[in-house]
Amino acid sequence: MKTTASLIVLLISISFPSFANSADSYSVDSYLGIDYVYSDIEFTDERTNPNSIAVRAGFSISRIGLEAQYLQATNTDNIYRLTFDLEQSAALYLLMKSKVYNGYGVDVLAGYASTKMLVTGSGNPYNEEDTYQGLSWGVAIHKEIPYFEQAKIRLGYQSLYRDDYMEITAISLGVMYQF
Amino acid sequence: MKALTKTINVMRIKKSRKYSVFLSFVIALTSSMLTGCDTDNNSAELANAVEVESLFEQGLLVEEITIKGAHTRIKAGETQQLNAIGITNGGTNVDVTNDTTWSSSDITIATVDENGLVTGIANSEVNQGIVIITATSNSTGISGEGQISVSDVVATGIKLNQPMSDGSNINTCIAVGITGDVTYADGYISMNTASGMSFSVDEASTATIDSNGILNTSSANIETTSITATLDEFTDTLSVTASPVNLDVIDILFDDEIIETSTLAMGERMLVNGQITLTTGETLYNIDTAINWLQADGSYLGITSTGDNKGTVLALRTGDTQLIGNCGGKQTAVTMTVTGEDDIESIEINQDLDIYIEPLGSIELTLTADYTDSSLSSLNVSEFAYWSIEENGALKGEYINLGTDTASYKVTSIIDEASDVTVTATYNGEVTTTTINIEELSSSE
Repeated sequence: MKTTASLIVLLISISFPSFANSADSYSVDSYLGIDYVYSDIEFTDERTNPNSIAVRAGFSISRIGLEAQYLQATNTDNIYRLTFDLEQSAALYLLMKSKVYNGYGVDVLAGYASTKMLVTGSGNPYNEEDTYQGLSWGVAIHKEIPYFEQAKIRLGYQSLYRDDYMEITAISLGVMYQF
Repeated sequence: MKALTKTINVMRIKKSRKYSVFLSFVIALTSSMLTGCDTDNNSAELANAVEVESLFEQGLLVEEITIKGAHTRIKAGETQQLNAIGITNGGTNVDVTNDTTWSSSDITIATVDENGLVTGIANSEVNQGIVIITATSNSTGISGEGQISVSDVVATGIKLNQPMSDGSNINTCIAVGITGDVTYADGYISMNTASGMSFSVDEASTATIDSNGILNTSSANIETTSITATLDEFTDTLSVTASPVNLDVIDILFDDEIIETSTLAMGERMLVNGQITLTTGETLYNIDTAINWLQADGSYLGITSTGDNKGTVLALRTGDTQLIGNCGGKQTAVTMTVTGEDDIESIEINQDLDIYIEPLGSIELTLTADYTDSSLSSLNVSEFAYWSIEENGALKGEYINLGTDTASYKVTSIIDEASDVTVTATYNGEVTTTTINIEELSSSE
């Protein structure tokens, strides 16, 4: 899975030098954003939704770049007697941006995330803090805020972690400021 | 101008190289992340903990396991089925036999498979041949133990146990298992077992008991049955009283649903079940082995009343009748309608072919009814025909495969000499006969 994803990214990137050779000038964008994150930790028959705040920073050159994200929990949630605390998550993504039409743009992210989660049980012997690392991807749509150039509102969906037993995803809503 | 153009081109090339370098860095970094180190966590354990919580919430979390069928003695080569009964946090008992991992403390004496079946490997006199069998829940890790003894030490006595631990009456119609304790010469006591025992009931009782010690009662009155169990040369007798006082309502089920009416086409077969409730609670009890099946009138239905397929109903004649189930003085009925055409053209035994068997040999006789209705053509009615054997002492007969399409009347030669015997089958007013030729058959036949 990871090897296939790498190959896809490499194949896509082979086409990029053609943009580099175009006669157009390069657009360099850097930005900072803050989101409220509604996360979803899903098991076979149960799920829980601890929430977080995310800070993101990134830059792109001609619509391809990098984005770093850091997530910090704001509350915990339970599955019966088990309390889930999505303590923190850090991720680095390859960012691919679409052209902006009527103020709307779409970002696609592919990268790697490391998420630390604490699960404690009252009455249940399970008490563990674990780190869940692996391939992460996301997609977001953003819209320029009228009369406030450089500011955008952003709605995104991310998969932070997935294996045969559980999946951690997140829906984020926030703002970003472009420099 | 040429110099200016050249300068611009150089600047474009430098920018292009910088962009390519940047892009290569991005791709390399992302690729290394994507093929980066794998996760190292306990998501499987966490998922299991979540499942445990869900079971706890539903009151289905097994907190204790007991082994049923243990504390008994078998010989090498014999088997004993154990069941793991889980007691949940909700206070109910659940059979978790197939959701546990079974193990034996000494596989040189006895082994246990994944379904709890213990097999005696070698008789042992060490520690009375006792082996500990453990069942561990796959979801919670809770375990229970039971002992099995593998030994060929002879028995020295048996003592039957009352089926109700407080000695109270059993409920009529609800099958109970009769077991006993067997004492052996080395002091071992095999507890609550029916293994190796043969059972019988007194002739005055309407109750029946099978080879596994399952007692079935159906009397409408309180009835005391004397049960005798024999093991080797030892015998014990137990009096068990069955009472219908607590019986409430009998229901007839088809495909696990209570029915009040049903329609069958000619030749169609269905299996019905009986269940009963008690006045003392809401538990539903299956009474298939005790319920009596009959029809209100006529011979519209062929009902299998004994054996493994008891409760199978075959549509034999068109019309309406009632299928009645009764037990312990309680009764219920289902209105049955049989559709189609039931005009019989002829009946024949084994397609009217000549029948030969060797002395002491046997053959299955099938009575087939041919109908005028082309959609039905023929029907095996062996089970519901009246068979008679010419009285010369050469043959005996018995019904086999009751409740199936292969039901037949099996005749067996009981004398070691040649003979010709006439067998007659009567069905629905039609009579047909066949001759069983008992003689030594050459190899070419």
